[in-house]
Amino acid sequence: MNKIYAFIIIIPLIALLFLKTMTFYEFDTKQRYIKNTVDGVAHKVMITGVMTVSDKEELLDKLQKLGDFKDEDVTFKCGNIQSDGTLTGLYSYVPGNILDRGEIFSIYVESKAESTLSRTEGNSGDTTNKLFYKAKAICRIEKSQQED
Amino acid sequence: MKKVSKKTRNNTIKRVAIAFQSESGGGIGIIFIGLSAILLAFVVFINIVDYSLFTYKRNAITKAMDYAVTAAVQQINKNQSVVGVANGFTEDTGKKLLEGVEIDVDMANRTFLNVFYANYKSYNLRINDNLLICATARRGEKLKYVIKSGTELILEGELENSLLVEGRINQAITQYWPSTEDNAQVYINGNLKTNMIENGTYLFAFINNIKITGLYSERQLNLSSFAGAKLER
Repeated sequence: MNKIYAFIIIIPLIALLFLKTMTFYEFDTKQRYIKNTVDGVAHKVMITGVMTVSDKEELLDKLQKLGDFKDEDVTFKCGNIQSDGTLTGLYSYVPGNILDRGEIFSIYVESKAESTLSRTEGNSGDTTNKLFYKAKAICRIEKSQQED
Repeated sequence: MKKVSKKTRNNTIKRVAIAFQSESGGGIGIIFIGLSAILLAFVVFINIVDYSLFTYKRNAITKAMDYAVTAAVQQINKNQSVVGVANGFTEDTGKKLLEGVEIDVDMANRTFLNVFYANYKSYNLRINDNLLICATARRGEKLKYVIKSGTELILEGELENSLLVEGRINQAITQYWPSTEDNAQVYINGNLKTNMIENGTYLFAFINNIKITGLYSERQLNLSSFAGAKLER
């Protein structure tokens, strides 16, 4: 009989630990993939100075495989570095526009849905504690569009 | 080796079996073993989470540093540089001249920090005092270099050969942070033939001893990156 009590205690604990490990692993892996995807796109824009419409679709495709991302969850911005070196006054970027050397390009993505890890924590009522998949990358264009 | 008799072995097995099967001690034994295993798994799990958070932060910081250094290298000081098409080409060969193009180190420092923090912002990570920046520019056959941390000038001068930059940066690191250990040195040149710095406009950034916290443990790191100005006339 005692053994039954033992299993009643131990098996749920093992299950809980296993569940936590799985949800954390899922969050960590997806978050890393999302950051890498965003970095890859930012790097391409840094070198070429342009983000084409097909690049954007490709990015959305990749992100949708990893989480719940809609078109409006991905924001692109661009602008210039101010004379004091700050990055204020960025405005929204339309895919296909050509940026010149020295301009700033930024991508920010945030998933609509809360991550599984956050949901299993059970504090979903508190919005400040929710964990979403997020990534951002801000780079400066290296490609000069002026012709020699 | 002493041979254990069959009888003694059977007795031992019996005694162990009694200890685990008796009504009084069996359940407790299993709980004890089970809980120890769970505790062990939990400790392993916590350590994995800790290291995983650390590597995620470290990767994000190194990526932010890459963006920052490529942004900062574009802060060319036009007043000190030879600007214009007439000055940008040699009259003899018509080739592009990439000498005399200098980086405004103070502006580069500010740009570096702004782009870095825009990419990676954390309330407990400040790199302003840990950042060392070295800018190089070609002056004829020589290489001019300026090494600064913030607005403080550490080293400045001209070198005969771009191979010597590595030594100057390491000298600046040990001079500015005297307690720095031997491993906080940068290696730019694998050997003479794989010299990564050419005689031109480059920017090096070195972050000394930044502390990155995982879940609970704190690890110290030195990071370095560099970028060429990719000049176009």
